[in-house]
Amino acid sequence: MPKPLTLMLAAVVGAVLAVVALGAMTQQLVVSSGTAASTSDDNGDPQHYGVR
Amino acid sequence: MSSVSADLPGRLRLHVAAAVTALLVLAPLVRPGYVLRYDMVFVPRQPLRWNLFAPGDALPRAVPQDAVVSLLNLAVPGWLLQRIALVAIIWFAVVGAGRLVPARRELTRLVAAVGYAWTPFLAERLLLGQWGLLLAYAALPWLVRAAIGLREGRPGALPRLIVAAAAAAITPTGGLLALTTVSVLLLGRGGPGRRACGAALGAVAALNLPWLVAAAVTTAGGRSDPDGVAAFAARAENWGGPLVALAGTGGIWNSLTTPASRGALLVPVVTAGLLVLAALGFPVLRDRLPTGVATRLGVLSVGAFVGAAFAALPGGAAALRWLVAEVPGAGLLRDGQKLLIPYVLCLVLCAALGGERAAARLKQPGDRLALVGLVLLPVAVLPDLAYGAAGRLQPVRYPQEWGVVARAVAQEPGPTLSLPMSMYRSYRWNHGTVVIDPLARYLPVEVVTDDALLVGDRTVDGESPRVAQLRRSLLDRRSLAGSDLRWVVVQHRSGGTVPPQVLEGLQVVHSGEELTLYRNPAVSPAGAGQRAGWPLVLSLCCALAMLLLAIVSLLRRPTAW
Repeated sequence: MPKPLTLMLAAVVGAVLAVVALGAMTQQLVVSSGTAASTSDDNGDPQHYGVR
Repeated sequence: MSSVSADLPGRLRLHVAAAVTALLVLAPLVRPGYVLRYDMVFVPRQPLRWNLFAPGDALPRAVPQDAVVSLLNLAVPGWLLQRIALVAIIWFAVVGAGRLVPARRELTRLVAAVGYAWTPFLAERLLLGQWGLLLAYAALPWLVRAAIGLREGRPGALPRLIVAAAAAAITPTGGLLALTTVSVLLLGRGGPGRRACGAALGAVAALNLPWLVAAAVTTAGGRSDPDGVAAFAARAENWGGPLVALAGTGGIWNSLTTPASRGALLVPVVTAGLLVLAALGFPVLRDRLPTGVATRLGVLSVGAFVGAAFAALPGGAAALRWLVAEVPGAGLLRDGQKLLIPYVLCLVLCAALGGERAAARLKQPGDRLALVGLVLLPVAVLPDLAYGAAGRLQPVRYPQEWGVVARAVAQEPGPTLSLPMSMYRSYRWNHGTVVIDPLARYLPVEVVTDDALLVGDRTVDGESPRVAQLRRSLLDRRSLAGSDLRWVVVQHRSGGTVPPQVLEGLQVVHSGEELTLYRNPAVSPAGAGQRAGWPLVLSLCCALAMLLLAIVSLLRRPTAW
């Protein structure tokens, strides 16, 4: 049986890989849709501090 | 505390979790350059300048943050300082929460650690560039731990508390948060630790002196535009409304700095689940922390939530408008969501312990799986915090001509106006991201920028009488040659327009794609003014001396923390 620490590290590494993949996918979706976030939102009127 | 404290492998696990979380969130920062986003500006070398230490005609919103950055910039370049600050926020949040939670299982510690560093609050404030406030966020678990130690008479607790409070007090909001936290946890404490508690309160109050003195010497007064209350009130992020958004630690006023995942249909359901877990966990927290601490922490977090939600409650907005307009310093309360920090910590601690309590009813390996699921839950609910908040933290380099303009201005120093009038800018070289005008920190002279904020269609007026006068002069299209400004910099394609009449009589010194620099021949070069004087220097020295004494005291102990 692997030790708990090994299991934990494996879980963390697995989570890292999953999150990186998820993050990359989210970024791709966001950039391609041009609606939700990232640069499309940031390109608003520069004089605005923000929009509610 | 009746729970076991983290042993060496446990601590190592927390540091591994911190490293992984920091890497996940800040991965894009491995590229060179500066992340320039909303309130976050770092420059190659921020000058040591009086108006950065204490703005003469504006409220001290970044005091002593700018002074600290300028001082550290003497030894550490801006690009590195930014990375150190951002990594430290996540690292200390993870390890601090993981060590504070009175857990009986190591997995519970990881639930609290990851849960505190992967919150909508952190994501939204990071996207708004408020790294100084996030330092207070990261320092809070350490501050609470030190305060508990002080109550129990543990050696070294006082210097630990001072160091944590000093990190928090880099902004006025963080300083007040530290003072409130220490007051709530320690006030009314009798017995042998009474003197130490008094010393702690005095020390944290003294750490707030720099911004208090700066507020006392500014000509801006202390009152703010009450229109800011509606502009900066907590905002609904989905069908749950603003109170549910706040309960889930989100609800920032700016929709452009809210991660897209916060709009998901299931987010309020997850929030409700977290609250149920937290309700399960609070009795555990109460039993395992020293008597009275959990109740005081609960009172603090309820107070924080009410403060954050105040403008969204019936009658709250009207009361807050009156406060902001009439009471000096009450403008701090108009962006209420930032007050949520103690609530976030209490929610995370209770939810982690609630998870531990619920998992105890499951058989192996179900209990472990349930806790691993709770570790990963924040990431699953908020996946777009990963990879620089889904690519929104992008380092960029300043155009070369910024350096050219800085060198020209340094040769003949004098007050400089940044045009067009706009406090925030959007540059093509910064991917169009909105950022507070970096020129004010980039140039080695005093730079006057606009201080009015535009939020949607609403304008929130600033406080500087000098800027108001300049704005009127520009509206009347009067030439700036008659002003006391030595330099005028026009930033092209950053938003807004400059009427050509206002530049009449000025000499072009540099004309580039991004910037045009004008010299005003009617005004001679002048050295930097020393408006703030000795009270400010003394307050800064007092805070720094206290911090250094605390650090030296900790270094002389066998285990600093």
